[in-house]
Amino acid sequence: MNRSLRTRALLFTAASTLVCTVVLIALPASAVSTRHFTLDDAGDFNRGELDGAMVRSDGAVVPGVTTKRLGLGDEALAYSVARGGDGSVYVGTGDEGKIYRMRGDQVAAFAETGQLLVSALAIDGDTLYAGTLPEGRIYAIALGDGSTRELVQLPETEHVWALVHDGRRLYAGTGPQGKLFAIERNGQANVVFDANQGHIMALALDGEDLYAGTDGEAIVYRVRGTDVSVVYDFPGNEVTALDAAGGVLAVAANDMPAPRPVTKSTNRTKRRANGKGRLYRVSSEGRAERLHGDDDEHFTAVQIVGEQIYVGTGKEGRIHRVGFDRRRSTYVDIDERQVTGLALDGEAPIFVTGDSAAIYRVGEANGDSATWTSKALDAGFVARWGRLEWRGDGRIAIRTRSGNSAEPDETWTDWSAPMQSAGPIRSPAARFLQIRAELTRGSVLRATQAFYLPQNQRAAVTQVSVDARGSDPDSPPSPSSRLKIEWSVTNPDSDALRYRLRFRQEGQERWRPMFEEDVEVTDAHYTWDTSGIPDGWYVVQVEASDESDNPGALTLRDVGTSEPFLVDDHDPTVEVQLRGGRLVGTARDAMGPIAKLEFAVDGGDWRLFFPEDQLLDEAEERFDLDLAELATGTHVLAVRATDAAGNAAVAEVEGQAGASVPNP
Amino acid sequence: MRLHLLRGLPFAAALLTAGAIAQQGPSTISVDDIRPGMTGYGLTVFRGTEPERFDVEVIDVLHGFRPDQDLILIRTPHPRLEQTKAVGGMSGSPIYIDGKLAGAYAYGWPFGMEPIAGVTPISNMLHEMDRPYRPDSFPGAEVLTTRRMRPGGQARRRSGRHLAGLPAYRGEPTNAFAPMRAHVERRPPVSEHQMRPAATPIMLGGFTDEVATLLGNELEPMGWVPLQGGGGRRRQPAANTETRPRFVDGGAIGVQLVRGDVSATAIGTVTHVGNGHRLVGFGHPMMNAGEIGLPTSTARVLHFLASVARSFKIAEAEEPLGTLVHDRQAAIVVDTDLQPATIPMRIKINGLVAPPKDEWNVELASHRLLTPMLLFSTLANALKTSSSDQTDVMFTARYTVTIEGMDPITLSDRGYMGAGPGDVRALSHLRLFDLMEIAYGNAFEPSRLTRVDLELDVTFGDDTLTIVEATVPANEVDPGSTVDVRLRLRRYDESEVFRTIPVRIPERLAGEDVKIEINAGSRVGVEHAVPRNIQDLIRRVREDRYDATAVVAELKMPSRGLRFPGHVVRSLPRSALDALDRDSGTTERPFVTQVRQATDLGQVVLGDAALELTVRQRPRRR
Repeated sequence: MNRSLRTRALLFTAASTLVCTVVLIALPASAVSTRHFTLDDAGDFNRGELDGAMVRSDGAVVPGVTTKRLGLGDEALAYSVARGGDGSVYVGTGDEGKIYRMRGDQVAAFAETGQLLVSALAIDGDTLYAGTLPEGRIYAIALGDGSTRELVQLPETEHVWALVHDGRRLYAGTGPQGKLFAIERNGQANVVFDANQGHIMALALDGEDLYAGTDGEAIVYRVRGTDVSVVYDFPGNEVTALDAAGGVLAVAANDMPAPRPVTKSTNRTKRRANGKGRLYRVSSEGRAERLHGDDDEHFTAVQIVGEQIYVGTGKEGRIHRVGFDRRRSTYVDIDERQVTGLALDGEAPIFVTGDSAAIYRVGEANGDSATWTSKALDAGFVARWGRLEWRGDGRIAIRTRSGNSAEPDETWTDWSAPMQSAGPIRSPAARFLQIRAELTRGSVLRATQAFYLPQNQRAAVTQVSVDARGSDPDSPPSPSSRLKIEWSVTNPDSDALRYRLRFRQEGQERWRPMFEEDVEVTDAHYTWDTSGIPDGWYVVQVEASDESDNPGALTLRDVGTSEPFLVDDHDPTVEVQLRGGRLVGTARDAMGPIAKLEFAVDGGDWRLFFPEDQLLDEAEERFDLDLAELATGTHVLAVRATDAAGNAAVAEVEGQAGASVPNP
Repeated sequence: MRLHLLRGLPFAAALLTAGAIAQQGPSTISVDDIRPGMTGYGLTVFRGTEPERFDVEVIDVLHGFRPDQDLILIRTPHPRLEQTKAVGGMSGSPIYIDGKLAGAYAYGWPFGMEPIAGVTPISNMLHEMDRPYRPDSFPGAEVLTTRRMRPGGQARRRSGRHLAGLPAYRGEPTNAFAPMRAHVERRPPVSEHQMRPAATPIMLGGFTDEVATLLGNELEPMGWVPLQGGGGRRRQPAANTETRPRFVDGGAIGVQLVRGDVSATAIGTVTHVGNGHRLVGFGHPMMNAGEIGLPTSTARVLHFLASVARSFKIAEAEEPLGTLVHDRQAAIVVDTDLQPATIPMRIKINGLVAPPKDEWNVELASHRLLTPMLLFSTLANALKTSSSDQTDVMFTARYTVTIEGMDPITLSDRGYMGAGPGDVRALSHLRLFDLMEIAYGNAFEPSRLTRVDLELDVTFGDDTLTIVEATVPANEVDPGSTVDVRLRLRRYDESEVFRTIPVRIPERLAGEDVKIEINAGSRVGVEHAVPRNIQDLIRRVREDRYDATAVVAELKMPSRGLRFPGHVVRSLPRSALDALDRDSGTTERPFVTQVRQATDLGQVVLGDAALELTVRQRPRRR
């Protein structure tokens, strides 16, 4: 979403073209740090929040429906929903097994089962049937007065996941044994079908066909009288919801992750693994067609209304609307984590939620209060905002607000006054920007783009190192007048950097450039030829400048300085003579100290020896070497002195040496 | 009464002084006025019931020894105390300096070489004597006179629970010693170089050596030293206040933990009897339990025993009198006008041939930490006394526990004692102790244990079957099939028998490798709902375990369950688990669903075994 202007051409059309062109021309070629947020597809828009607006799969935001949240007391979750013939809606809840009735906007407790969860509801005539957890009990509740009686406790059953009534008997999809029961009015229950799966999670009735979806393997069965057949074996491991109407079967099949391992740790992580949701439409001929998929969240509820299939989600709290033609829109987006039940048909469409429990009434799609709000867009650094463009139809007003926290809070600015047309963003500079579009009836928002200039960030030179010769006198480097200088830089905004190097001798004040201005160093190292400067102790300064990416007024620089280091490009001198069979002499160096003394006899190997005071610590070292070990005779004796910078000098002398040469 | 006490007193003058102090209110000396070298005397009972003097000499005052409490260091150059050094049971002996009450003999050093003690200043103790207590602190207690219980400073507050400093009990299986051990673990360790309260001797009467040792091991960390003493004469509290025994300054006092056919009494000394119904003693806490409600009694000292390891008074309880109402840093406070509720307990042992005694009746002090341990000790003692046989014993414990305001709860536990009736450990795990924790430590409402009746049916002989091995005909099985698991079981005589138990393989395990654990029923725990009230806790105890004669096959399923208040839900499909295991809610950590199948073998089962099977993805065609 955060894209460089260089790499992406604007595709805005019509009225916005001229504006965009102006923007492109107005920007200097070097101003690559001007960036923009572009939001122009369904994925981008879906990351934001919708209130009365919908995101269509073609990447358009349009006015949608309004929602009104109705509380459910202290209930933990609503899980099941059923609509009565008079328009009343009944909602099954947990964790106290209560049923609520909604009439108009009035929600009131209606019945209590004493169980954990009312997991399924069905209505036949004046009776509401409630399936529950965890004892496999089904209750019959009079719609008139809410009087409740236990209809049956199903054998070998703990969960009643789904109920449907075909006008003659009640059917219950159950777990954990995966049995489908037919229950007569007197409570007599018979197993119609044993799926040999873990659970029958969902039921749907369409004419004479009863469909049952299972978990373990995501299979949908068709039960017609005593005949049972597999409709389809879907990918995934759970058919969580079904609906059927007019020969069309809608299937929410999920691939749920394995449950987290059970540990004894007291720290309970709440991070959940995502399920993957798939929505299928199965035709009466048994042809399964995938209409929608989401790898980030599973689907919890499904309902066919006309030629639209609505599917509720289990992580982001959304309802998607998918047409038989596969055109899809994000229909509703709420704060609750899960949409658990849908009753979107009829004059008073509603849906219910879990985590936390609520009933939502869905209002007319009039668009008067439809808004789409982007997520907080991150400029990376504090940024100055430029123009805001959008592409769409109809009357759209855009507001913005900005702040420096990733989640908008009270430290953020208020929403700006609405912009009716493209123009400069009125929110103050900040790191994050949020965009809100207010849509009116018939309006369509297709894309929006916000330009910004992030505050230039100073690069910092954190370390300058010189491959200083002489730092280890025990192992002098090879003599060379080329010094390698390296430095480290932190570069928060990744601007292109140019480096300038300067030096001065220790004790001097004036920095001298190491190279001419037309030499452009962009790598964080440089090799310096020191042959043109006198020997001595020097310091190097490295300047990092982001002038390549920023105009002069905005350019930021930083300098770093090396430790003092020795430049010694001159050889030492050696004086040597034979005196009474001993090799005596002096080695001198201008910068000192002498690092190594060696001698060789008659062109043989160089052998180390020490000066008179046994310490190689001065610029002038005297030596006196006893040659008694040599065979008496004439020898050519060479002495090589090496200074700390690796410079070496050799002197030779020829004469008598050996054990019998008298010492004067 | 006083004339009666005076007869035969060797130190009548000293007692008159003590009596005078009691009548007039103490003439006290402040710590600020005490200087090194000052002399005085103390009062304690060396023998019988009458206090005698011993000389004291002030060494110095240790300031800030405890929070807001100094300590007066004294030397006690008494011939007897030169021998005994610090003496258990002397705690509370009043110390007078310049004829004025300075405090209570209370602290000493273990293994001290000199007769040096620490004295708790009387001002700290008198402060405790005046401290009110909450009227609900001693449920079931009876006020002996017409006075009303003095309401405490927090009387208007809602009744609080008395959990004895432990977390509320939420239904985990417990045993007789768990509460006390949990309490001891919470106490900071004390270095041997630290000054510590003079040990409190607990005089045990009617206990066997083994049970006394067992009890001693549990009580020692509290600074209590169980000693074999006597049971004391059994007397009921006198209703007539004029004829009731009295406490005197320097007299012995007992805190009666058990009385009846066996007894356990903590012995200390009265420091000062106030003008009203209260007295202070000990000079240090007994358990530092605050408002505690233990029964107290007068006591008689039989001997003042010198010991290199630890000197102490040998004593026994005399007349029940009063209630220990405050157990505080500086003193215990006794209200002599309050008779605490105790727990009558009856134990009947059946099945032994001509036991010396087959029915035991005791009254137990009521306290979360103490009562389970005392009850177990009494039960163990009854059994050990009745039979010292060291042969295998099967037992059935049938008991009725009464909690105030509730119907009596009757349970029955079967068990096995491998080394005869003397091997009493199995009895410490009776569910009786779970019920006691519910009564004392439930999180929901104040409740009170009022009675325990227990009958123990004992059968000599080993009627157990120990699981040695479990095998199946084939390690690859069909989902939905029933597998015959063949158990090799060992009887007590080492002979082996084989039994076959059916284990159904759930279809849901298709394609899985499954481990089947075969366990003795008594070892299998089940997941319980989060309790919502005391009834839930009791229900949980009732349903806690499989019968000891059952063998249980446990299969771990690839699904999870959740515990909720009042409900447990198992085998949840993944989407339902995701919905029910909410970020906001009261659910607890998910657990692995286990399918358990029990088969009764008719004999007590011990041991365990395990099998690993592969479940085919689909059943084979037949």
